[in-house]
Amino acid sequence: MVMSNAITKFLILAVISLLFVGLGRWMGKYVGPFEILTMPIKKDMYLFRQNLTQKFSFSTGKKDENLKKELETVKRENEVLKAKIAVLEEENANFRRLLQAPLPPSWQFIPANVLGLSRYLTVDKGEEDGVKVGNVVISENILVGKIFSVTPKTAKVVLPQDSEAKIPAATQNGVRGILTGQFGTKIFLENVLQKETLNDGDRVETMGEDYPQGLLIGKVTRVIFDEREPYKKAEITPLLDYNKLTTVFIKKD
Amino acid sequence: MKSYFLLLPVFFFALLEGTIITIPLTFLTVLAWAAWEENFFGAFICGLFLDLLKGNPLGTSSLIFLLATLTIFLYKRKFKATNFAYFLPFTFLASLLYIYLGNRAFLPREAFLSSLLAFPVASFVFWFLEKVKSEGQLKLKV
Repeated sequence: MVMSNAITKFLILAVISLLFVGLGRWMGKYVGPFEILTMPIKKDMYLFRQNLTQKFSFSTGKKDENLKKELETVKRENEVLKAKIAVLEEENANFRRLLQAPLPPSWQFIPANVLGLSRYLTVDKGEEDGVKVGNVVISENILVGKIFSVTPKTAKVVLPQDSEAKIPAATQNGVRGILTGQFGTKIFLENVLQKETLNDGDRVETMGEDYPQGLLIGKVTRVIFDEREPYKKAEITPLLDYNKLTTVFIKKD
Repeated sequence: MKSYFLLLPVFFFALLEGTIITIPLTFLTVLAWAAWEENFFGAFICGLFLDLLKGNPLGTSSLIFLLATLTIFLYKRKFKATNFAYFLPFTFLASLLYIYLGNRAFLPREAFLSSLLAFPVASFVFWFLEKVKSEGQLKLKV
């Protein structure tokens, strides 16, 4: 008996609740006056909450969780965009420097991003972009190296500091020699006749032949000579820090 | 009848729930009330309070509260509902479901927090109803 009474009560009230839900719109106008009564209290409570949450953060709702997640996503996106802007700004600066560099206007370039540097410098342009083995790579009017191998999408560049690189070069005073890398760390201007004058700070640039003439490479930082040897040599400090390169320009044939 | 004075704190809880906090205090009170005595009308009114103060479609909370009360009523024969050993695990499961209905997501951490809060809330409700009951008995004795 108690059971059936309870179930009856439940059913009646459940039906009323369902009617309320079903007639939601119609009921709205009856809710209005009640809201007028409760609104000022709710408003004050909400303001109190706003003040409180500025000092402490306590909530268990999913809305706050979502907001936090959204904020984190926005922050991440912001970081990514900042990084992209930095890359674009650097690229832009490189383009500007290239435009200002005293290079022949007939030269055409393929801009490429650096993908990595181990022994060789890897760039993100390859055969599909028109890059060929032997293409010279520069940054402004400074020599970066020469394309050594290409794949459809990437290319490897031999740097002047590589032992495979033999670059005919000359100082600003016309002293000629062969630029050779040693152990991938140092560059030497070798095969310089003893009678020639080499000074610290002399600018070294390409001399032609395999490389276009007049591309800067580095500066003489140390002259090494032995009177018994027919040739003397000089240590060259490159003008570029190859580790910091992000954009380079591949000269088209 | 005096047990309906419990609607006063329920109103306050609903106000809190509608503004400051997201812990289902009203729901916990309804569960505790249902554990103490069968009170479908009280559950119905509590639901209306909550819907009015939270701005929910009128009747939705009432329906949920009625179903929770019915569940407790049906299990009362098998378990002593006011015993916290049964009441708190039940609160956890009920809160999990209730939060799911409100947020469309299972949030066990929130449900656990609710079941922890159920202890002080239920203690208050049991104390309140006990006091109301004992006062009524005293009057009858007089």
